[in-house]
Parts: sequence; structure tokens; C-alpha cells
Amino acid sequence: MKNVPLTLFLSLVCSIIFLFPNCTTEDTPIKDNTVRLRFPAEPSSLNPATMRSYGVFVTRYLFQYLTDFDSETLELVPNLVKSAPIETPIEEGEYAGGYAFTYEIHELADWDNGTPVTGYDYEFSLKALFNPLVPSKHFRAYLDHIREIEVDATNPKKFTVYSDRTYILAEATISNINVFPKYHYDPADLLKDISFKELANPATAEKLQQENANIKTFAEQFQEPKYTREEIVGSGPYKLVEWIEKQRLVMVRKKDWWGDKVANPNITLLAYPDTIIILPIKDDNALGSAIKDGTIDAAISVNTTVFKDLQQNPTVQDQFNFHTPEAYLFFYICMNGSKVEKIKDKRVRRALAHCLDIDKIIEVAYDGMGVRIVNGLPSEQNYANSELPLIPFDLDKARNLLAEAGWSDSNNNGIVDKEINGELTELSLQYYFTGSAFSKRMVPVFVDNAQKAGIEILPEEIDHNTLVGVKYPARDFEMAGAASGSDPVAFADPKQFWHTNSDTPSGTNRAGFGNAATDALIDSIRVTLDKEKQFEMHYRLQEIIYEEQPYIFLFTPLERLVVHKRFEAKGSKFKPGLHANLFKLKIEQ
Amino acid sequence: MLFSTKSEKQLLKEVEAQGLPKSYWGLVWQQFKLNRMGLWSLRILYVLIFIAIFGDFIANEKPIICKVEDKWCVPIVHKYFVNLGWASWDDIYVKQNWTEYDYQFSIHPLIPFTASRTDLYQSNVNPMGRQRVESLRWRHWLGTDKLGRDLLAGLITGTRISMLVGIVSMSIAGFIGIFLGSMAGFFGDKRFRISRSSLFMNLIGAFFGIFYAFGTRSFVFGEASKSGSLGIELFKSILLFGLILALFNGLAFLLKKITITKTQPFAKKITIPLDLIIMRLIEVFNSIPALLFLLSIVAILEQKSIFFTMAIIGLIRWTSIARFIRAEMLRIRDLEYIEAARALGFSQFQIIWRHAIPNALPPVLITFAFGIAGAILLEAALSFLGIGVAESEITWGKLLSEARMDFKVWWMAIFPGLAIFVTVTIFNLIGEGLTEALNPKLKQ
Amino acid sequence: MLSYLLKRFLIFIPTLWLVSLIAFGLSRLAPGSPLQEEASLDTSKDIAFWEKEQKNLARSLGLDKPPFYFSITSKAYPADFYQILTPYKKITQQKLLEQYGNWEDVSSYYAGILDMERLLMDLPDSSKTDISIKVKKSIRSLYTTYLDKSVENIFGRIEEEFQSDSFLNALLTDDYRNFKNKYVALKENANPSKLYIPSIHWYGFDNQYHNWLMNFIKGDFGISYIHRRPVADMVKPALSWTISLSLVSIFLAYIISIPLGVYSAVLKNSWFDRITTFLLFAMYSLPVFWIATILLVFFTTSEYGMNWFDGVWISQISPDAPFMEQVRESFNHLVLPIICLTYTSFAFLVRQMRGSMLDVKEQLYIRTARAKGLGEQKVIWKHAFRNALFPIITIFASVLPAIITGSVVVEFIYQIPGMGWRTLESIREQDWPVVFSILMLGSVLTMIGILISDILYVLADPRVSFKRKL
Repeated sequence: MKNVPLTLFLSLVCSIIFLFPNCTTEDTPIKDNTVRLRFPAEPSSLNPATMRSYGVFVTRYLFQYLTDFDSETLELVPNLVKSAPIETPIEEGEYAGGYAFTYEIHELADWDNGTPVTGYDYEFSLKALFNPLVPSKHFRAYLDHIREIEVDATNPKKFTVYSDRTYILAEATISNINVFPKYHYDPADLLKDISFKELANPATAEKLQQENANIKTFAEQFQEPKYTREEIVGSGPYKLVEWIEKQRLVMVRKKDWWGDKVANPNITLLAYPDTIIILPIKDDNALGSAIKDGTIDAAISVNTTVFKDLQQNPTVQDQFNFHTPEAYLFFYICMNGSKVEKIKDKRVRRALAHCLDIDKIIEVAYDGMGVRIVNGLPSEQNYANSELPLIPFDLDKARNLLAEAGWSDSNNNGIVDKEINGELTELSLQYYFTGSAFSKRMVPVFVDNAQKAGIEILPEEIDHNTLVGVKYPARDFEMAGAASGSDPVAFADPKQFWHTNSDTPSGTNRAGFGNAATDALIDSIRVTLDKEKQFEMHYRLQEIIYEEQPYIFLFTPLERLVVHKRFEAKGSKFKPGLHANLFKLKIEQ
Repeated sequence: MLFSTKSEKQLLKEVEAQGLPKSYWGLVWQQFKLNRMGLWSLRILYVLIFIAIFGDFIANEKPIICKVEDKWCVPIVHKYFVNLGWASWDDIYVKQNWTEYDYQFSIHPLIPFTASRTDLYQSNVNPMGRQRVESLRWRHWLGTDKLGRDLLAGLITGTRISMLVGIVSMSIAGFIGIFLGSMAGFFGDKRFRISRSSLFMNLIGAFFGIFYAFGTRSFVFGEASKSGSLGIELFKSILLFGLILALFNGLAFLLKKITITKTQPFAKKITIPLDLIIMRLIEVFNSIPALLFLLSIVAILEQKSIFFTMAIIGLIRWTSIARFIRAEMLRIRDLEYIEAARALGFSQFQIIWRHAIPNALPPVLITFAFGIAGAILLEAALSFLGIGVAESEITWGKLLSEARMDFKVWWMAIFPGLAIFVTVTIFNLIGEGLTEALNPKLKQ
Repeated sequence: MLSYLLKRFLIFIPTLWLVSLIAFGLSRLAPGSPLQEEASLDTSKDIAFWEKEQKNLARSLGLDKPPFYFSITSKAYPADFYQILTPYKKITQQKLLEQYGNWEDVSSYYAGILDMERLLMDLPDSSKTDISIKVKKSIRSLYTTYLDKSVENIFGRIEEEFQSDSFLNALLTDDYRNFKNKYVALKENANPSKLYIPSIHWYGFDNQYHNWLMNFIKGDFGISYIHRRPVADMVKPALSWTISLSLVSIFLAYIISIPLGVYSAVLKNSWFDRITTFLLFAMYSLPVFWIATILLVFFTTSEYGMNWFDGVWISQISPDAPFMEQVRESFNHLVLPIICLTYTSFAFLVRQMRGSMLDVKEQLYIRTARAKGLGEQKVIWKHAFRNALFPIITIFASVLPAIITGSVVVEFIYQIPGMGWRTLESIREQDWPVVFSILMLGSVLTMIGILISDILYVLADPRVSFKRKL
């Protein structure tokens, strides 16, 4: 062996070539009852009280609500309870003007260890949520109308929740809480001596926090990895068996789940697949090849370009179904009309709206996967005013409106200007946008279009946290690209978006929209349970918003869902769009 | 070195025929010319610099010179004046789309597109395929991106930024590196002696200088950055800082004169191990993974601009220059002519500035050339990752990153990368050539 | 040897300390706040409630403590100024303070804004008029206004509005006068001279930096702001990915480059030498993110008919699969990233190897060996090669940081959950505890690399002793 290193080198090269993967991955059709479901990211926690974003979706397979949304009809149907709650108005006492909701948990409902699910578990779940040291304020914010819970002494499955005001969303918010077992999450019964009533009142909660050490002990223990990642116990149809960070999250169907024993179960009690594996794949191209390879069975939020590409691919067409329901999400441009002098005039804001060729934006920046909107409300809901027309792309109209509002190009620089407070001001507006591919692609179109009407747009990319944490609270912005999403229920309450009380630094009425009339309108919408009257007021409010143009509403994206053809599945508008538990394996012919 | 071919001998002959050059730099140049790759790289560099400077006249939707409604106009040059505030547009030129005019006469740039101009009807045009354009003149030779922006125009605009990145960041690095490196090398651990009073007074002076010139003026800075007069305020602060330092140095001078029991305790000199301190500093900077560091700094800047990135690259890339010049200084400081200068009574700083540094500089040129290549590469990587570039800035790295979003647009993957590759290579080759020219011994 | 190692480790300490200062300093300068205020459904009643929640959160993250051992500010600042955590509140109060220099008045005026706002929000429904809403908006804009001219403007506007609503005027006139007096007092009691007296506050050891550093040494890297879980848990798997990838590529780079370097030196000026030299030089200048992108674009999709590899990392392997299966599967995914990580250092190494081999070849002892009549192969491998190997070993120190840097980009492109990917992800989420832990760890790794190569250098070349090296 004269040439030892050379031989070594060659053998290494050979071994690499040899090891080269079997270049053509032969398609072995998978026929099992396992759903490999792609999520764009993995949840950071599966704690039933503190999880966020994707954690909310995953916990839907592990926990149950009292009543849940039917993914097809989008209406609340019983889930953990036997039937819809009994509502009784409270006429006197502490909570006069409020409502009491009486629920009864299904008699078959039990936990993994065989003990029944009771009202005490619900009470405990609420106590955990209201523990001031548990970081769950994103849920708590919607629940501050709940004052007290009373479990029936004779039947622990029966309990009453007291709300201190009339509120259109009261039932939905009370029902949509993960119920989790006291025996598992609080084995030492730390919260035994603390009543929910005390926790629900901020003043007494503050006192409790200082005096009762158990509050702190529980909060710390509750956030340990054991309860956020390792041992997740709920009454849902699936059980978490494996979670490898950034790789996969495996949930297996419980063998003797209580829901199976229910006769004529409704849609929220159905669960077909044996195993659901969540694969967090962030990269869209990787997702594309994974779908082409057939290594995953279903995917949500597929990138628009990749989705289009997949739709045209014959092999993918053969194997997969595509669903594109409208998402509960909309894109808009927020204008700081109440603070920035240049856009205080609603005609200027309307002119800006006329400047945007939204159809073209949808086509180019979002691959045509969007539907234009008049406002952010879901079009199928009754409270959405369907008579308002879309604002067309019309540069002449924009120019006319600007001229009407007193803007003209007096110094011949191509940008219209006007004297404001004795100073010649150019209509040049700063536009913040965050770094998503869509918002980046939209910017040049916006700039180009606005320029043609004589408006200068100065785009500036900004970090999302800086925008939300610094610029929005200080209202230190002129225009900003934004997106908002929610569920069908929360949209019905316009307070968060449009009430002047939400125009606080942390509030979301960032355009500073509103006056006494709209505030009064919103306040009465919130307490009017009579649907017809409520819708009337909704329509009125939407007309005013349309007139005032606080935002430029762009479009609602279509959700992009891909599901393997061996499953019978329907795409739902309800997030996350795919309800993997409803995937029914087709019987081979 | 790369291809030693026959023609090298020919070149050698040519060089010999010219006779021996007179100056040192002449000699270096002659050596450099022997390296054909280096020479060609230099020529390509000239072209790149030309493109960087005159990019606006090569790719632009505006005509270079035109006649509209019997008026002559030079829109591109005019634009510079408008930007500088020296002129404004005449009312006939306020149309935003320059292709809409009826020109009586016009000379257009070679590529009739502006890099940032979107054309939604020309989205993702394939350079090899059929294009729906009026004539060859409007063809997108290298294709377009998703928003219909011409790639070739983008590459031409990006050239300027790449060149600027290389030059600005290495100038900053060079300034810091040469200063610290020469201090370390020339003074070593033992030769930097300073009186107690000067040392302490300078430290106190620096504290008060920073406090009064910068700390107490932060409100002024905040307002100035809004009105755009930050530069002036910064200059004032630096002036104030210098004044305070000078004041304390004056005090130090007075302190030295104080005599207590026949000795002057404050005038006593102490030695500062400059070399040790600076070498430790270099070690710290070398231990920080550059890209990670750069990423974290650039990410916390509220305002994104390529110029911040350039400055930061400069601030972390000075160590190799400092090391190089330190080594040279160690060699030079014992040479006879430095000794002679010392004997003639020149001051330390005079010797460093006038004699030592000029002699230590040539080798630094090599690090400079490689450094530019590194800086361009680093900036390209950053803009590829989408960190630290403003949306309005078009850079090669950013163009390349679009290929990751859509695999079908192969031209976005090939051409911007090629541009980066060529530029980096020519700087590396020039560095290589310089190495050989300065150390002919190395040439095998 | 031992004393040398000890000395080296002693030098580590100040270096690491400086790096930690830089990392911590950066985290202080980072914009935004981990305590993002979240939207609430009914803001009217619980401004105070949110403030309390913020405090709880700050306490649980240790952010309510002073940031550093001491602070150097002007005398106008209170010692507990760091306790204001909301960015816009901090900025506005700071700006007011910098103009007037009297903290007491600044804070009482600023608290007054909150009181006014609360009063306006708690108005009975009957008096909620357009005017009251306008006043409310004006009051709110005071939160972020600090220039006297603008503040006076707003006051003027509020007064005008009060004029037009006598009911509101009657209801709030006293409160408003009180509030305005606070601003007047602020201006009257201005004491800017305080701003020019430097003052040092000593906070002691219970500060954020100290706690962070001490915990870091103990291996507790803190808690992620975004994911609310230990940073160590997030960094550990990432670190193992990066290290194993780096080691594999360094190993490959060495094993390919050494023979290649030797042969191109031995066959100097042959076509083989010229072509390899040229190719390697080109490789050396090829940006790694370009090659990575090209490989990804062209070799992982069927678009161009070359779907040879799996693209981006997705773990599909079940841990129960046979070992070879696992290796094969990961190999399929990792070929491209490893190629990308290897080729840059590989080009560099071959050039070094060739250079040092050429150097050695000219040495006297090689000529002697040749003169003795030894075969060419024996001369090369037994004598020249051994000696030429020293320098290339020491280059390890510069290869390691290069690979770590390269891995940032490669991991990003191929979505490998390593350190680089983790860093980018955390930067995007502004999860500073993670970013700065990685920065520190990266520095430690680099220093270890330098140390290893120093030791190797001494071990490989007996002429250099540890004593002289230091």
C-alpha cells in the first residue's frame, strides 16, 4: 500500500457516493389510520391555562370545553356538558343585572384515572386561570365578568356560574375554557382554601397574593415542565405520548374514552384517527417536498406560492384534496387618524383607500388567495352589514378627494401639499410594516400606487415587538400594516376594536376611532341580547366605520389546507381549519 | 501563482525591458503585474467601481438626456440636485412614470429599468423564455422577481452598496486597527510611560468628558435626531469632550510641578503595559463568534440601514489589521533609522506617524484586500438572512434570498450569487497578488 | 503542561467576563420589553389591574431588580428609576426629567395623567359626550408628550373643550386644575442644575447582571421571555446539533484536504496541481449561503429533474428504527448541509497543506533523505508529511469559528434546529436571554477551540514549549 492516504481518500469518496440516498424515494402508499399533520410551528407549551397560539390548537385534542363550536355550523354545541346551559337573569343581590348559567357535565365524562369530571374541576380550572401569578391574562381578559361558581352539593356534576353583567359573549367565554383535572394539576390541593370569588375580585386577589403562600407555590409548580410539556392530562379523545422538541408531537387515541360511550354523539365528540402526529415544519419549500413525497397527510397554512404549485402538480392532485375556506383573519392598514394631522381629514384617508389596487395585491403578493372585504367582519355572520360596497381602486377619485380636502402640488415636486398650522406640509406618510413575505411584497405596490395620486409613502420595516411594544402604545406611528384574527364570537363584540375606552396605550383601538355616539352604540350592542336589534346597531356602527375609514381594509386570506385523499375531511373556516379528529379513513374498495 | 504559463516569462522580459523602477511602490507594482490573475482582477475591479459610481446612468427608467415640449432636460443629474435640495422638478416632469412621455429626443440608459420599479404585469419573467415585451430593448435580460423588478437593474444598483460596504467598513477597521496595532507594537509592554498626574487626570477627564459631552446632552441628541441635525450636535459634543480633556491635561501639567519634600510625587512616571492590554482586547474580540455578535447587535438597532451594518462590521473586523501592524511595528521599532530618529530628538508620536507607520503600511494593504472580501461576504450573508437592511435598499444578498422563497425562479438563485462570488474572488485575488508582490520570497 | 493550562484558563476569565458585559449591555439596549402589554377587552376598569400584572410578570422574570451593581447618572435621577418598565413611560418621564431636573414633580405630574384618564373613563354614562371623549384623547396624548410647547398646546385644547361643555367643566374642573397645577409646579420648580451633578448609586449584588452571570456559571441560563421555559432546555439540543455537524464537517474537511494538499504539493505545477489550486481558490470565495441555496433549489425538488436529496430537515425517523436506518435517513437530509459546511474550510485547508508541504520539501533534511537514496514515496510520507502536518493541525482554531459562523446560515437554509437556527429564531422573536446565552456559549466554544489548537501546536512541535508559548 504505497498510497495509503489516497486510498483512504478514494474509499471515503466512494463510501459517500455509496451512501448517497436511494435517489428515487419509491412511493409506498401509507394506508394506516395515522394523521401526520403539519403545523407551521410547534406550541411552546401545552399547559391548559397558559398555552398560546399553536398550543391552543393542539390542546383541542387533549382537553375539552363545556360547549364547543361545531366546525361546520359554527354554533356552540355541548361538548363536556350534557346540554346547553340554563340562563337565568339575576335580578337582585350582588350580581344584579347579570346572568347565572347552570351547566351539567355529562354523566359519562371521566378522567384518565376513572374518576368523574365534576363541577369542582371546572372551578379549579378557573381558579388556576385566575391565579394572579399564572401568566394567563390573555384568557383572563375575556373572563372578568365571572364572579362566582357554585357547585351543586347533591350533584357535583351540576354547577352554576354567576356573571355580573349582561354581555353577549358571556356564555361563549364561560364555556370555552379548557377543563383540567384537579387531582393531576394540584395533587396537594393547594388551592383548597381559596375561593374563586376571592380570586375574581382584583382587590381581594391582591391581598391573597401577599398573604397566602399557596398562591405562589401553586403558580410555580403549575408552570414546571411536568405540567407544560411532559404529563398532559385532559378529558379529550387523545393522549400525549411523545413530544420531541422541534421534531414531532405524538398523540394517541385513548382506548376507552368516555366520548365513545355516548349515544348519538355530536360532532365535537367524534375522533376517528388512531394517532395524530403534529410535525412542526416552518419552511414552506420543505413542506412542499414533504407533501410531494407523501411523508405528511395534512397541512394547515400552506404558503400561497407552494399551495398553487402543489395544486398544479399531477401526483399531488391524485393523492391530496385541497380546501380553501375563508380564514377568520383580515389584513388592513391602520391609520393613526386621531393624532396625525395630515390624515385627520377622512377624505384623505378615503383617498388613500382609493389608491390601493387591492385585487392586484391579492394576485401578486398573495397568489390570488384572498377575498376583498369592506370591513374585517366574517361575511357569513348575520351581524355583518352586507350592503356596504367595496372601495374601488380609482386614482382619479383619490386625486379629487385630495383636492377637495385642500391638498395640491404647489411646489411642483410631485407630492401634494397643504398649509397646516402655518407650515407647508407635504403629504408624505410613514408606513410601518413587519417582515412577513406578504407585507414586504405589498409595500412596493402601495408606494407605486400612492405615488401616482401624489402621495408619498415612506415604508419602514419594523420589528413586530417594537411595533406592538413601543410604537403602538405611544401611538407613535402614521400608518402601519396589520393583521387581525379571531373567532366568530369575539368579532361580535366591537368594543375591543372601536370603543374609545380601548384607545389606551395597551388598547387595540389604535386608530383612535370613536365619539360619544359610537361608544353608546357599542355599549348597547354589548348588552342587547335581542338579535334583531343588535344587528341593527351593528349595521349602523359599520356604516359609520365605513364613512370614517379609520383603516384601509385589504382582504381576508383564504386558508390553505391540504389533506390526503384516503381521509374524508372537510375544510372548516374555524381555526385551525383542519379538525384532524374528524378525518375518517375511507374504506378501501 | 495560479497559472504559471509561458507568458509569465514574456511579462518578465517586458518588465526587465522597462528598466528598474525608481520607487518602492514602483517595484511593488512591477511585481504585482507579474501576477496575471491579480492584474485581471484589478481590471474587473475598475469596471465594478465604474458601475458602482455610474450605476444610475446604466440602469434607469429616466432618460439620460431628453427633450420634451421643446425643453431639454437631464433627469438623472437633475434628480441628484433635487435630492440635495438645490433644485426642484419643473412642472412638466412631475409625472411619475418616465415611460409615459412623448420625447422629441432622448438618450436612454442601456437598461431602461429602475431597480425598485415594480411592474406587476411582468412578474417572475424567465430570462431564457419568451418575454411579452415590445422589443429586445425592453427585454429583461436576467429576468424579474415576483413583483416584476428587473434583476439586472437590481444587480447594478447593488454593486454600489457592495463596494461601499467593503470600503467603508474596512476604513473603519483600518483606522482602529492601525491606531491600536501601532501603539501596541511600538510601545510594547515597557515603553509607554506616563506620569501619574497625566494618567489620573486623563481618566477623570474622560469620565467628566463623557458625562457632560454625551450623558447630559442626551435630550439634545434626541431632539436633534428628529430634526436631522444630529451630526452638528455630535460634533459639538466631541468638541466639548476634547475641551474637557484638554482642561484636565492642563491641570495634570500643573500638578506635576507640585513639589513635596523635594520630590514631585505626581510627576513620577509609571509604565502601562499597552501591548498586553491591546492584545487582550484583540483576544476578546476574536473569541466572540463574529456573525452571532453582528446578528445580535444589528437586531437591536431600531432603525435599519446598511450604514449601521457597515460601521459594525468595521468595529469587529479590526483585529487582524491590528495584529499585522503590531508585528510589523515590533520589527521596525528596532531598525536603525528609527533609532536614529529617536537620537535626533523626534517625539514618540512623530516617530510613529512620520516614520514607523508608513513603513508598516504595505503589508496592511494585503489584509485590507482580504478584509474587503470578507466584509462584502458578511454583509451579503446578513442581507440574505434579512437582518439589518432597510426595505428600500437593494443588495445582492437580498436578491439572492428571494430564491429561497420560490424554487422555480432559478435566475434569482444564480445571478446575484454570481455577482457576490465574482466580487469576493477578485478581492481575494488582488490580496493574493499583493502578498506575492510584497514578499517575492513567498513565490514558490 | 498543567501550569500552562491553568494559566490559559485564568486568561479565560477576564475575556469571558468582558464578553458577558457586552452581551448584557446589548440586552439592556434591546428595544421593546418582554412585558408586552396585551389588549384587554374592557380597559376601563383595570388600568391598575394591568399594571399589577406587569409587576408580577417582571418579578417572576427578575426584571424588577436593578440592572447592574451601580449606576452613574445625574443627581436628578432617582435611584429606583429602573423600576419603570414600560418603554414609552420610561422615555417620556426621562425626557421630562432631562428638561426640568426635578423628579418629584415629574413623577407626580405623570401620575396625574393616569388619574385624569381614570376619572374620565369612570364618568357616568350620561356625561359621556363627544367633548369628554375628545378631552380623554387629549389627556392620553400627554403620556408621550414632553416638549413644553406641545404640552401647552394640548392644555389649551383641553381648556377650549371644557369651555364648550359646562357640565363636564363643573364635574372635573377641580381635578383638572389640580392636575394642571402639577405641570405648572413642574416647570416652576425646575432645577436643571441637578442634571449636571454626577451621582453614583450603588445597588449591591442582588442585581440582574450578577444573578444572570452567577446562574450562567451554574449552568442555569435563565428563562426565555417568549417560551417561558429554561433557556438551557432550548439551547442544549441546539448545541448538540451544531457541535456534531461541525465535528463531522471538520473531520471530513481534514480527511479530504490532507492527501489532496500533499499531492498537489508533490505534483507541483502539474495539471493536477493547477486545476485543484484553481478550483479550490474558487471554492474558497464561494459564499456558503449561495451554494447552500443553489443546492437546495436544484437538488431537492423535481422542478429541475434532480430530486436527489431531501430538502429541509424534517424528522420522520422513529427512535425505535434500527441504527443503520436512522443513519441512512439522517444522512439523506444532512448530505447537503454537510457539503456546505465542509467545502469552505476544505479549500482553506488544502491551500495551507500544500503551502506547508512545499515549505518542508525545500528543507535540508528532506534533501538529505532523498540523497540517501530513499524512495520518493517514503520521503514524502515518512519525512515531509509528518513535518508538514504541524501547521495544519494548528489551523483548527481558525476553522472552528468559521464553521460555527457558516452553520448559522446553513442551519437557517436547511432548517436544522442547531445553534445558528436557534439564534435567528430567537432574534426574530426578540428572546434576548436565549440570544445572549448563545453568544456566551459561542465565545466559550471559540476559546476552547483556540486552546485546543494551542495545545496541539505544542504537542506537535517539540521545539515549542508551553513556557515559551505564554
